[in-house]
Amino acid sequence: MAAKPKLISREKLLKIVARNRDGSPWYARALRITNWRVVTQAFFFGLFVFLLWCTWFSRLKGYPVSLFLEIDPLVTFATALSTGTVYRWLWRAMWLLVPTLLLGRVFCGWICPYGTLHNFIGWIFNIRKNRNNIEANAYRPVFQLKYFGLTIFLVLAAMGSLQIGLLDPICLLVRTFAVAIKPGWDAALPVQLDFLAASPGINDHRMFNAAWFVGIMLVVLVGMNLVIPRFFCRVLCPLGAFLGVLSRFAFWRIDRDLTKCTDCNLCLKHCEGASDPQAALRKSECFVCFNCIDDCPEDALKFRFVPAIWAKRAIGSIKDGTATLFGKKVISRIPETEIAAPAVPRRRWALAAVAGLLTYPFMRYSKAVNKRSFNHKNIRPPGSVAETEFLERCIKCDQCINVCPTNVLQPSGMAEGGLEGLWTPVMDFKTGFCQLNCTLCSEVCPTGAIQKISLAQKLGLGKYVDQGPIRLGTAFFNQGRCLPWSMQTPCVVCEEVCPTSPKAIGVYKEEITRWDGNKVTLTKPYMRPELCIGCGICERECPVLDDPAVYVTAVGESRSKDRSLLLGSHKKKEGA
Amino acid sequence: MSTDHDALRAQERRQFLKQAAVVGAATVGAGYVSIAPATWPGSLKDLDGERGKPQTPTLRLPQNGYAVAASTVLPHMGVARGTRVAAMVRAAVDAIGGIGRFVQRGDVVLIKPNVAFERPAVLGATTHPEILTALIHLVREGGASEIRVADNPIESPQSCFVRSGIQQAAVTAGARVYLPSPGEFQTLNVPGATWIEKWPFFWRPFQGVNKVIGVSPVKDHNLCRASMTTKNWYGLLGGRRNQFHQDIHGIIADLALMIRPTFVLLDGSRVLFRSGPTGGSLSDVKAGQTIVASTDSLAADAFGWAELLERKEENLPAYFAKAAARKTGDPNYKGRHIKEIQVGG
Amino acid sequence: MADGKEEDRLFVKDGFRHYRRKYSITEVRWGLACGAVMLLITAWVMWRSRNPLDPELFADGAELLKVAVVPGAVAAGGADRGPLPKDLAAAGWREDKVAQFDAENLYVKINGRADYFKGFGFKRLFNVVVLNEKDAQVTVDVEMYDMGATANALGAYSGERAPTIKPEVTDTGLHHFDRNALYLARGPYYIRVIGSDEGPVVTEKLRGLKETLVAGVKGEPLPWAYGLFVGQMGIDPSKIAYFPENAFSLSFARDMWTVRPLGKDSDLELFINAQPDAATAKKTAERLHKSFSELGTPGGKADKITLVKDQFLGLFSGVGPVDRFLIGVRGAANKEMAAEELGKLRDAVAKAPQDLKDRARPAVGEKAAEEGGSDVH
Repeated sequence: MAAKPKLISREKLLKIVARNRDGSPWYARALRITNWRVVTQAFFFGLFVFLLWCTWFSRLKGYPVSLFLEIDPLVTFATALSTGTVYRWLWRAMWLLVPTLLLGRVFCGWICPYGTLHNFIGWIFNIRKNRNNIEANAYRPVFQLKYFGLTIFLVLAAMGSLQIGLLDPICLLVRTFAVAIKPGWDAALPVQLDFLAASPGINDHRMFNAAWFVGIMLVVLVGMNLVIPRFFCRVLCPLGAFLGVLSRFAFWRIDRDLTKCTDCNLCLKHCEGASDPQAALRKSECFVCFNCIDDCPEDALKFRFVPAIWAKRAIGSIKDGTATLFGKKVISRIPETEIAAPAVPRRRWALAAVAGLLTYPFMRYSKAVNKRSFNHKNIRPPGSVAETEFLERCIKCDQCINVCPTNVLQPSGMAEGGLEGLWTPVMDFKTGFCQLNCTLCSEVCPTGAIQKISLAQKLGLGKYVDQGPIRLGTAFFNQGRCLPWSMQTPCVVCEEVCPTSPKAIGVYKEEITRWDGNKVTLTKPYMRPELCIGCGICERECPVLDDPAVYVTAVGESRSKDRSLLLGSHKKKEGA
Repeated sequence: MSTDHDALRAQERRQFLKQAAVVGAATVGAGYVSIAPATWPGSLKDLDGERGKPQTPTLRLPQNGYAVAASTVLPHMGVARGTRVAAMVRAAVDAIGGIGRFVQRGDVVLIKPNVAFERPAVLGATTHPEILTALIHLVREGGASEIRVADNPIESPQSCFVRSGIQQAAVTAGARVYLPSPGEFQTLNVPGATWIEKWPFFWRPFQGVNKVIGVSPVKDHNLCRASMTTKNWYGLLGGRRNQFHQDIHGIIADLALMIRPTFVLLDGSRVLFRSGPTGGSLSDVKAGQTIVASTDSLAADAFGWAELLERKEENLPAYFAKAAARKTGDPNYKGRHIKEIQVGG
Repeated sequence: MADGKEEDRLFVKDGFRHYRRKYSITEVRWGLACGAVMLLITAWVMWRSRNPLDPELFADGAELLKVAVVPGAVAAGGADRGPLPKDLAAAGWREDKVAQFDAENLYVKINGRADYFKGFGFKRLFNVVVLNEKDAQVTVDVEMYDMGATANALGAYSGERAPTIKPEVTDTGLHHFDRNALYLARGPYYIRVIGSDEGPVVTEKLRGLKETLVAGVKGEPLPWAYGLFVGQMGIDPSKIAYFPENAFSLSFARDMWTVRPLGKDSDLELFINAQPDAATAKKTAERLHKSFSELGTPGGKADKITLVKDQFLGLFSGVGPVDRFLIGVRGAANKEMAAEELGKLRDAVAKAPQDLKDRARPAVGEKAAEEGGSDVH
């Protein structure tokens, strides 16, 4: 009795390809702009994940794996504020700046992978009814918060402390992928599928300092979509705020035809940015998602070329029935159709700036950052600039951590770099070591906190001979825990794995009679500090696992004079 | 009115019975799995906590390892001297019976190079890709259906395989490379071993393998004095390898017990004669112009010690005696049948 | 009921519903433009992946090694040239800075091999690189090791020489050429000269340097053991080796002269050592015998000396006192061979002229012979 199952019934197919009711061809509906937006969002999200997937030794090749970070205008602008320069590929932010100045926050609605994630989760878990949807998507004053955050971050950046990475959506999402999602994915994969691993070809699970916090941040921020749709984008996102400020100059915007509008408010039903398309459009909040156009039963909304005409603003327009005197409107026959700038009172901008000014000294004059009493585990990847410059550049995106093949790079907690250094990369030699011939972290760093270095530069060979190798720190022996020194037990794994030639670990040979009467020849290791490059493989391989008997600390690092150890090491630095 | 009431009562009764049945079944089920004796099907009972402990299955390699039948006629060691590596590999293997003696049609062959460190091949810290390529071609001629190359390096595996040139060589020659991943280690039982009787073992590449060939460089070693074909098996283990150095000679003797290879190749074309096992400078390496193939890895190592590292004057490292005492090989290579061939000029 | 069902939904309600009535072809055009941009981006990413900005990123670094410079030598630059003869450079060549290394920092120059030289009583290394003026890649590295005593210098020299090479012997020293290198033992100095290649320029320079060094470094007569082995027994000097300490891997065996009379293909090795008096000789011989016995089983007697058969190699070794000398054999394939070679050595000692015997005095070691067991590895 039952009809033969079909992929799609003839009637349905005919319905799809039939002309629309307005007489336009079927594809005008199927290929309408909101559907294109969904395709575009999927594409950029896919590209984002693909590039992070490629951020690995065997997949990297020449992929521009930090592309999304490089096109992030906030990264470029804030590092330009803090360093006065635009590093390497950061000019690519122009690719986003231009569309934003023309069309508004298209990035938020079309490109941003974090926005896409919120959009998708908000959509799929949305079980509100129409009325509730319209309420949920109304503008709220709390949306000003992101502008305060942005102001504080930019003031800090101007003073030399770059903190945008805490909340910048691209940095945040890259970091979440690197330290929380990828290790979780790898752990969940069955052994037969390990070619699908995010970090294939390693013999131990990758682990990251306080990954739980980064993970929970994702869960909470995404979960907030059930309370306020696009919570992060509307309330917190500093990049959104930055683009919002820029988009006040946009030439195109959603324009409402007042003669057609019936004030049904259906345009709010799927409004992503809560930008009030039913009233005066808040240009700085609009994500240009075009859902309002889709939802308008009267076809009253259009995306139009509406440049801000200075004459109109200065004296008003007879046609519109408005008049302006000294910047104040004196006659206004019809309601305003747009609010171009972010709706933040001037005094609040000032308050946020003052907050930024005050935050700087609190953070900077903590011990962690300064030349004395810095944390001994504040060990930065090879090629890093000196600590104060590092904090001007590092955006905590953790791409270096993502690409590091040995798991030595870890997101810093509060201990290693203070609040300023939270989530910046530090080396933990208990989890890994700095591989001698590897310069991957310097390749992927978008902002030059880790400067692009060649292998010759890292090893101090070729034309860098006078400069010597890059030293990350210096290794020390804790003789009280060392097997040959204090336990009459042969070992010296540290000497075996020391990669420099000549080896930076030497040994004293000693023949002793053990407590049990057996004779053993002990080789007791010692450091040759001039040769040690601080790669930490000795610490990683030391069998005294919990508190290794040989350990690297930051002193002696070649990136700064302040933290050098040996007399004369500054000479090499100056020769460079 | 009353009919309505009765209907309602009947509905409530049905509801009650349903609910009671569900609650009762859940209670009985929970009681069964927690109280029934452990031998009953479906029981979860664990009186002393033993059942709840993680079970680690242990593996065993074949009883006689991967060796082929011993021969009384053929030499146990072939020594090829010259400069053309490919021809030397062939000559050395021919001297001990040719590849046909070791590899049959359809065999799955595992080749274990030494890729412990991330160093360019010229530094002599790893097996040279040239010799690996030559060996893979040779094994393929023998009719192997699949050739695998595997190692668990000390440094980051991918970097080691790529920078030593082993990855490129293996893939180009048509072998499959196995890099370790966390799930690919299982406990191996090595009966009679002193230290590694049960130890995590890089098991995955061994699945379905019936021949194992070791190919290792000749290296000075800071602790065990010389790292050659026997020490090479170190790269098949996982776990806390950094404890091995507390009795490195005992460990190497255990390694000799763990793997009985089909044959081994000792690459004396480059000799890392000092600063081992990592090297790092071209001045640590000298040309040895020799490749040794042997069915007895201890003999090959003794040859390497005396003739390639040129330490004839010194006593053999202690692991030779320990391994020899277990009859896993015989370091006295001279007293037996050797064939030496000069390849080319 | 209907409302309740909607509330039960886990996922999106009315997800695809929209209310517009009119559609526009303009949107399709803009969308196609978007699609084109996406294709462009994909193409660019793919192109970028095949054309890495830094093709060296995955290089193995082998190229860099060729110009590696020893770091310590730079630091020690401008040191006093010690006993190095003045005119090493000669026409067409120039000298780089002289570097000096002592026992503490010798590893900087020759890591891993430093202990070898220390074992021969190493005092100081004077090192200079001579560069060709036409091509700075062509260099000759002169290493002059001050070993403190002639015997030590000869020992270090013999230990580094390949067994196939026959050295040229003069009254005051030994030397030989090997491929791109020249080796000399002269007086207390062991000199190693290594060229950057085997080309004719380097070879010619090595010949010239040999003359310069022989003329510029004062030699000393060869030690007594050479007189005994070469003069009395007629053995080729290339077969002689010397161990100031730790001979046969035994820590107490010092100042030992060894010789392989049958050449490199045989393991047979004779050794001799001078002691201050006959009693010490006897005592030391017993101690050596004991150490040999730890690694083997009794192997009978040969030429009045008790032999030990090695447990692994099955070769015979033995040691015994003759007057205040200690003579012995190692690695003999059978007893007869051991007896024959030992006999030859015993005769040579007996027939040796008195002045030769007088010269045979134990080397004055810096460390007095100390108590110690066999080497445990």
